[in-house]
Amino acid sequence: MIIVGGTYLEECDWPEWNRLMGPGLRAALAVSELSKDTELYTYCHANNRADLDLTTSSFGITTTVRSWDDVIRFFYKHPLSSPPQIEPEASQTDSENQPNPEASPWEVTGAVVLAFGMLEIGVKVNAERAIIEWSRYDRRVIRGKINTLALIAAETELPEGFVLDVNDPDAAAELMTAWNAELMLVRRQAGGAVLFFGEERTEVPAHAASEWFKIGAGNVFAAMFAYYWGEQRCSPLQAADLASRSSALYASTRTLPIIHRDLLPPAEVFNPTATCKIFVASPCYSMAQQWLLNEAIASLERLGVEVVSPYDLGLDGVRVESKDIGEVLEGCKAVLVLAEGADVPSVLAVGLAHVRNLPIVVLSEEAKEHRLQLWSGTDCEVARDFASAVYRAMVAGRRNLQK
Amino acid sequence: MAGPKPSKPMQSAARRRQALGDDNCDLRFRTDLMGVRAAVAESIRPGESLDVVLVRDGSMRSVVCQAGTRGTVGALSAFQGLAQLIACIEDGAQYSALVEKSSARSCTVFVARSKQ
Repeated sequence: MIIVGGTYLEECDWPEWNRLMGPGLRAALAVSELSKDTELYTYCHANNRADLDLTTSSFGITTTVRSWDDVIRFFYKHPLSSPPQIEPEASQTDSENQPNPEASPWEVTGAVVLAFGMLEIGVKVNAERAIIEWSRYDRRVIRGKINTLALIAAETELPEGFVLDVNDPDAAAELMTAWNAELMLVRRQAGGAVLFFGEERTEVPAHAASEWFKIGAGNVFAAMFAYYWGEQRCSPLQAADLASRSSALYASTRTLPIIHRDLLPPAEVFNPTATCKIFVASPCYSMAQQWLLNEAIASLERLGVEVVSPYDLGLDGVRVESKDIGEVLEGCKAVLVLAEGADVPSVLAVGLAHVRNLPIVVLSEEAKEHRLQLWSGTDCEVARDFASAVYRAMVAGRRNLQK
Repeated sequence: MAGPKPSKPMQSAARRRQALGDDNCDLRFRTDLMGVRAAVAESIRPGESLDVVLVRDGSMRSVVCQAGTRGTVGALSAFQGLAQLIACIEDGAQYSALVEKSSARSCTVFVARSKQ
């Protein structure tokens, strides 16, 4: 299989991640153990070329590398930071500011080709089977001579007017017709996907990850779908399900390559679109506390979760219509505890949630055992990083609904 | 790689820490191992120290973490500075990897130069 896509530096603070990666290299690494003749077409700065060559050669990946003048770097405070910050700014992804708009696209030809948009140049794909990661922010992948084409898009990067679960059959048909694509997959924010294949619309299950390292999970999904559908000729639904499971494994472990499907660990399936309301328990007296609380609220809302918080109780000092914590907890399916519940209202919320048998997820970034012991014997789930805490609370809330 | 227009870049904590080394071989970094071998990884525990070993296979060179006689846990790969790490090992520098977190499918280590 040929993979064409960027190699970039990626940095994340929480959890710490400092990698030479990017969509192209990540996808190539993901399939390298299963697809023995993986080829990567990519750009790379000269300073990182030796690191790239050592990495790809040790995983049996053949490379065709072009040099690029800038080191391109993506920075995330945490994996749910949206959007990431990109350096240098000349690499920003708006269509008016292309680094090299006059350059001819890089033409790539093979039996099976997976293409990601690259910041450096356009890509023209010729293939028997092609898989293109489509984005409304990136129009630099061009269809060449392709027998069978699959489009993959993130839910957040669909064309204007294409809204999942609202008008998706018609909108998908329109996009597939425009690209002459056989099928299309839309990856959901919370996990899983929707497969559009001919006239059929099918939900691809969301497999729960034990942690949630979201950076690049979509690349792994695309890579594994390309391998199973493009190379192994699995049915679109089977390939998409295996891609979803593989992506959850990557998010749980941050480890590549992806293992053979027979070795994939069993993973709980949840409904990523189920109605879900979560209470976020957190002190909210200082700017730092409010910043973290705001991040949690925004992240959960992006996952389609209704959120209630100490703000609804007026605990930040802003007067609200009189409510007690019992009322605010009404209808909640789970509780997310930030700052280890280090204030009295949070302790009260956790107690009430416990009485109501609500699942409770605690963010505890402090690795020292004595801090964790505070939560032993409480049936609370402890998450060690912010993104995992948000995600596990969402899964807990949507799992609870299915009981 | 797609997404809306980003704001001004910041510098990560990991990159700020990288600038602290005394010389080119005073490398210290936290990373997840690649190609984790489940049979070995499930036997190791946080706090354990792994050997950082350069492996040659023809012209190919890679750096792996080994848990003594139990074998290779996984590889140090896909990071800026891999070539530098290999050059330092070839020049005689020795490194160890402290296991911070592990499971059958993953292993997070902190790599630092061993005292010689």
